[in-house]
Amino acid sequence: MPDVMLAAALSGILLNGASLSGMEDLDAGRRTVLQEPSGDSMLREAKSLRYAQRWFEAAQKYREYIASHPKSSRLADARFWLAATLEQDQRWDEAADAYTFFLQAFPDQRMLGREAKLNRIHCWGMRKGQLPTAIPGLLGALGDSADEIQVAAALQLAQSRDRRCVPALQKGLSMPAYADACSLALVSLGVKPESPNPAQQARFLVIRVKERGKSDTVTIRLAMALAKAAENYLSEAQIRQARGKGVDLENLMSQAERLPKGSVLFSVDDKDSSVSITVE
Amino acid sequence: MKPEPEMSNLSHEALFELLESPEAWPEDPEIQAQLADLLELHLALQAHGSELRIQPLAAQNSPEKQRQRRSYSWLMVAAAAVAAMVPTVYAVQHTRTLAAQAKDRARLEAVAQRRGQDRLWAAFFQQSSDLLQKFDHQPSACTRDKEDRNVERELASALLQASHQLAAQGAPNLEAESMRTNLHAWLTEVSLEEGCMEPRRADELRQWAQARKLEDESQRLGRLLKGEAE
Repeated sequence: MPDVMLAAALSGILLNGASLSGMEDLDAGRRTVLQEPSGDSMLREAKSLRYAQRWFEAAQKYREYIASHPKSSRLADARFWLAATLEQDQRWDEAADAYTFFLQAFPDQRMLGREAKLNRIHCWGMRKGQLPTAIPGLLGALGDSADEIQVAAALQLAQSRDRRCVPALQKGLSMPAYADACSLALVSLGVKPESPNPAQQARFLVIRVKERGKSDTVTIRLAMALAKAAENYLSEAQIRQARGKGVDLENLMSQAERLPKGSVLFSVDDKDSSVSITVE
Repeated sequence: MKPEPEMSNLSHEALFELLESPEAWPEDPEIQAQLADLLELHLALQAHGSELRIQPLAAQNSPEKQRQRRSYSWLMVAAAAVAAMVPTVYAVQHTRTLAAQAKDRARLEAVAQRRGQDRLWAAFFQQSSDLLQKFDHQPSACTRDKEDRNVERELASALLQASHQLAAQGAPNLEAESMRTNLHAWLTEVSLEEGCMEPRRADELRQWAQARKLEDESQRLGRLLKGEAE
């Protein structure tokens, strides 16, 4: 190493407040000083550009960092944020490829890996029907080991009415965070949501809606697994009224399970309609 | 659970049987409306068909039969007319009611689906706004020089999951999707941080949120979507 560079390295170490205890640390110190500070500043700059929503420049900066620091310990972060920046810039195809590259290169990244898989599903979802790899990618995600990934892919496929997603959507009914979305998606596909609990399958919530000015009452049957969706048939005023009567709308299913068949759970009305809900 | 019949696989006999058993119709309101239309036509034809079957054309035109027909009293004609018309009118009325109900049901289900979607989005924006507000406050210290952001980080992770779910479900409008994208980026940053956060980093995240007006905009959109759901 030329003397100028060594001097620069040493001054860099001193500037960074580090100290060298012996000559054996010098090589490691040199590498740190010559690469990491400039690398750090590149990553900081890339992040600032990202925060300023200057996506194109941010992506460029991440690419520069990746090219100039192929052995960096922060390469996984840089790869992830490059993909996220491309996604923010709505460059869906590039972003999906960048996430795929990240997942292949860093299979052990647990948190970032989960995010990358979910974000890639979003990118494919935006491009289904246009990008040839999007639908196969989503179908592949249906076989992922994580239920959450399967369900996210199934929800995207449901938007294009692809019925291959139905088993994963049924599975999603038992996941509290996804249950509502899955039940809505199943109904939109004309498929009855199946409760994971067999005891619930024998029961329905029957919603009877009588609209003002109409002679007939409309009857809607909801599978017990969909009990929470009963709230969607109520207006805000009717929800307030039900709560006023002491009805726990968050736990309709457990209330309905306890009551004998034929019981009226509650009835409410507003200026537009009256609604009653029974267990049958 | 009994599987729903696949319409295209059914024989004509099976289709007629299904047509006359509304309780066995598939759940899909659109298919139900189509079946109700078909049932109306089917019943109307049935009602008139029985009349047509009674008298073959040759027999109707024989002179003897013509004389017999003239001899019918007007009362018999009226009775026959009533006997033919009443079931027809009833059938037509009944099937119209069925069709109208199927349409009303489809409309109510569409409204419920829209409400459900809007409420999920409204809840996401409201909870994000609450988290941003919480993030503005000074937390307790984690170690001597770090902030305890464990609670905020947990909330951010939960909201990030909700954001993925909403992204997969589809947005009620472009503005909501754009806001979700901004929040998603911020939530990703917070949830990937350590629970014990450098004050400088916390400040950076706070400034980013303020520059994008994430809290105010989340609150506004949450209220808007809740209002639209009415």
